[in-house]
Amino acid sequence: MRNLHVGFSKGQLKIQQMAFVLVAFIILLGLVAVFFISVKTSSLRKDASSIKHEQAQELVRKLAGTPEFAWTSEDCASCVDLDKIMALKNRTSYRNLWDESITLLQIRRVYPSPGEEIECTNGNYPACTKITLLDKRENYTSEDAFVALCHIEPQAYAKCDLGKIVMGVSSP
Amino acid sequence: MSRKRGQEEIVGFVAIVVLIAIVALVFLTFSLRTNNESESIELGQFLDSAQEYTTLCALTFVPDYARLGELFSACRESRDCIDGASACETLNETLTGLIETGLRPGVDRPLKGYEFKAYYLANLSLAQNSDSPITHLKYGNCSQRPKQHGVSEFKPSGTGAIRITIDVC
Repeated sequence: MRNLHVGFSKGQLKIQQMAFVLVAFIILLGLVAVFFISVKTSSLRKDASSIKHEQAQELVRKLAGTPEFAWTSEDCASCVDLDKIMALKNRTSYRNLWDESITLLQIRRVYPSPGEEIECTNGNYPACTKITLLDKRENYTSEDAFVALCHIEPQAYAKCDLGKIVMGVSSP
Repeated sequence: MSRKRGQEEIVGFVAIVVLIAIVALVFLTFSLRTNNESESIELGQFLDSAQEYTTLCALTFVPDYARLGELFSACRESRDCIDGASACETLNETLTGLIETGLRPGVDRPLKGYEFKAYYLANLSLAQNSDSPITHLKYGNCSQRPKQHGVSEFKPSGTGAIRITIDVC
């Protein structure tokens, strides 16, 4: 009877030992899981903001493909027709073409650049750096995309420069 | 007997620690590798647009000035512009101007450096970056920094193609 009592106590001790090891192991696994989830969540947030930024850039780039912007002299998806855009500049009938949320729409020459920013007018075109199609003078977050700005030179040949379409969307 | 049992428990404990260490190591390696280089739409757009840039090099007659994209083939064939300048020289000068004005790398700027490469690929299905290089431009040191990778561009050129890549950091 006495021996049986001792054996039972040893078994209990073993089970208790095993339970402690299991609990410690689960806590360890839990810590690893928490670390993994926190890293994944931060990476997901970063990915989401990066995708949002890229989508906005794609949207800006889509503008280059619209008939009002597209360069149709040759097959070029990244080219915009600067002459057409210049013709659009002062047309009030096109003011409602853009979405309500768009507060700024600008086309900027990046290279070659004369250094200072000069707004294009009928008098100085094409020796200028930016065409502002829309500026509601409100707060905005801006997105831009690289495009080739093409126009016909007075010597009757096409010339393309590096530029950007800048779009400002009203901040909430 | 109890000494042997104790040894068994130590071996078990060590096995668990090693297992967890391996899992953590695999996870860390995987997460670091995915963050080190990412594809950038902006750089792809930059490459597309830069290729359309009209250079000051006329290969046949004035004013038929070549696009930057055309100068890659001309440079590979060691051709010269009508004004006597080499196509490769004009290509490198124009590319440097476009990258430095368009992406604005610098020590005190968000972009610390770049590496631009252009290759001629004779066989697209066996494309390797070691296929005959056309030009290679580099600024700054990107070896220890996370990179953004510009989408490779394939342009028809004779029977093969030209691959253009840009890495910025």
